[in-house]
Amino acid sequence: MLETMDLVSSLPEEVLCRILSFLTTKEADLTSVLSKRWRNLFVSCPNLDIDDSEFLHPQEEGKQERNGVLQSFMDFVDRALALQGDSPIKRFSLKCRTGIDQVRVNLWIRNVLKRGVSDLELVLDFPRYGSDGNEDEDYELPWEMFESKTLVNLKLRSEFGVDWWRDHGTFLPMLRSLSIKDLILLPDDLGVFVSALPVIEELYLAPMTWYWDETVSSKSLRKLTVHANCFAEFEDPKSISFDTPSLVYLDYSDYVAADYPIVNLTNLVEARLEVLVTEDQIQLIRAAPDSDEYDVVVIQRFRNVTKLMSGLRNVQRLSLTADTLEVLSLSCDSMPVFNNLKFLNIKSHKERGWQAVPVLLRNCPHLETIVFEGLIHYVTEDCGDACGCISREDKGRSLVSCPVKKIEIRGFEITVPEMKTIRHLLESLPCLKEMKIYAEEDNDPTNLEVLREYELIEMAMKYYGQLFKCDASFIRPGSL
Amino acid sequence: MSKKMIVLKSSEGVSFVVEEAVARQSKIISFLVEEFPDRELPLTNMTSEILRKTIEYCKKHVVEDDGGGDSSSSSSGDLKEWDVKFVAEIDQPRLMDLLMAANYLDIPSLLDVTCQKVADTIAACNDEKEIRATFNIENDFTEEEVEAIRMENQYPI
Repeated sequence: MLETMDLVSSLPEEVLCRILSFLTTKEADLTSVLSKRWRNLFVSCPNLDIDDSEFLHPQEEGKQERNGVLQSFMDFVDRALALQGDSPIKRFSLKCRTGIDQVRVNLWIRNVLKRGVSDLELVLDFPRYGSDGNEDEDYELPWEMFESKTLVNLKLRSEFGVDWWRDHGTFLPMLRSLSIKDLILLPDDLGVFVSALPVIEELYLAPMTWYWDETVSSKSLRKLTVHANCFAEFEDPKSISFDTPSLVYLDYSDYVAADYPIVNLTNLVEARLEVLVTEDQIQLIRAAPDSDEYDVVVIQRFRNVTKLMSGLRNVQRLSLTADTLEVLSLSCDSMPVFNNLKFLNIKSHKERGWQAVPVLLRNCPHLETIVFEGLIHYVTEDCGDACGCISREDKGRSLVSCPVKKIEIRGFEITVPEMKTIRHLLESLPCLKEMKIYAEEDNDPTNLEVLREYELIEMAMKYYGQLFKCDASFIRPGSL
Repeated sequence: MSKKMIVLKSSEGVSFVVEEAVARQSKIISFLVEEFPDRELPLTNMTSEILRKTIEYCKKHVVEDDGGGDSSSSSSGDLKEWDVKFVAEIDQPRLMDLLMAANYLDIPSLLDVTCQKVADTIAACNDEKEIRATFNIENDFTEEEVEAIRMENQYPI
């Protein structure tokens, strides 16, 4: 009679709680009426995952009705929390949009903080002061959150931006991971802020605003994502430093700082670097040394990016954007050697140059894989032998010494310059064993002309593969 | 160098020879191997069928430490797909046994995969009656209790 036994209810309580943790609170709540055992289970379940869209989306028409739904949503959360009393809670996730009573929301957050919550996720789309004609309400997170002794993981999201505003300072002694999307304001510079997080390991702040003079200093930090690019009006930072010897992962996007005095990243394994530039700055970078536009001070400032690059020299994986390459074109003679680098990702843009690519390839003696996100770039005399855009005679020998075994090309747009570069790479890289080319996803796969082109490329790759003894293949969009 | 093998014995007394690295995904086995090296490990509460399934899962999930590993994201995607298929093929009573095995042996990833499958089955039900029918859960509330809960639980459907 195996089939008729209630196997699920005989599972140990912690296993049943684990099952409930994969359900939304609304689904889990339904299980509280199954039987007595399940009812008690819901009460002791250490995870709550509450999303108002589960209530609001099915019936949004009619304001009256919507108000009723909002009311019953808030009652539901009140009841779920009341049912759990003061039993310990591990994880609390709350997703709310406008219209929810903010005072009540803060009561809920205080409730779980009091019960020792360690994982807190708040997606609160409450307008900030001044946004969207909003002048009276200004949502503030409860102060207890900034001083919690139990929080380990904290995630904050808001489409209106998050203010980490706190008059009396922050201290989160257990916090290991903090992730804020759309961070509008920190009360202090990041250096002071991070010092209030003594065991922080992962920090994700993107996009964010920071001050002009920043030092990120932490012994515990292992992963850092900073996208300091949310200012529409453009102003360059003065000085940016990283004193983070334990960091293994850095994803950094920002305008060019005047200086990078300290870049201590000795244990870094992976870096993604995006140095942003304006069109005006591009003109300055490209100005000929004898022209009126040439500005020694500005050029020197851009050359300081080398200090940042030099701090990345231990990485195994490196991703650079098109803007970054353009800025690095000024520092080709001071490019560090990346002895550990195995994986290089290069993003191209048709308006940005590749002058830094030959020196990069020369300075990566153990490179195994290159991923090109696009091959089309701004063609100059100084791309050297990295591309096949202009005639190949006397263009240096950066490819001949490059040990790369595998190349991936994404966003292939089926143009002649790209084909020339592909052939050139196959011909010149002595260790290349594999090349994969992925077509631009935007192409219309039902267009006959496109299909015909795909066939031609496939044929060309087959031919190249035999000619250059390399596994060369073309992958059509959607065939992954 | 040949890989170190260990022997696991099911409740029927059937022996399974497994690479140590594969079996060590179980925290319990990892502990036992260290405490009792070179001994057959009896798993008396596990049938051969369930043990075979558990080993199949562990073999797929063993981390090959060959120092390489670019494009790891795509392979983790493949693994997820494999997991979904793995639990989709199992009927409910065996899924429960496998879940218990994962719990007993302390293999967190297998426990998550099996718990997720149960959670998905619950989420796919329209109401509590359907959940009860699916899992043969006996309703042990009295009429009055049901009424009291219903009064309390008034949320929109």
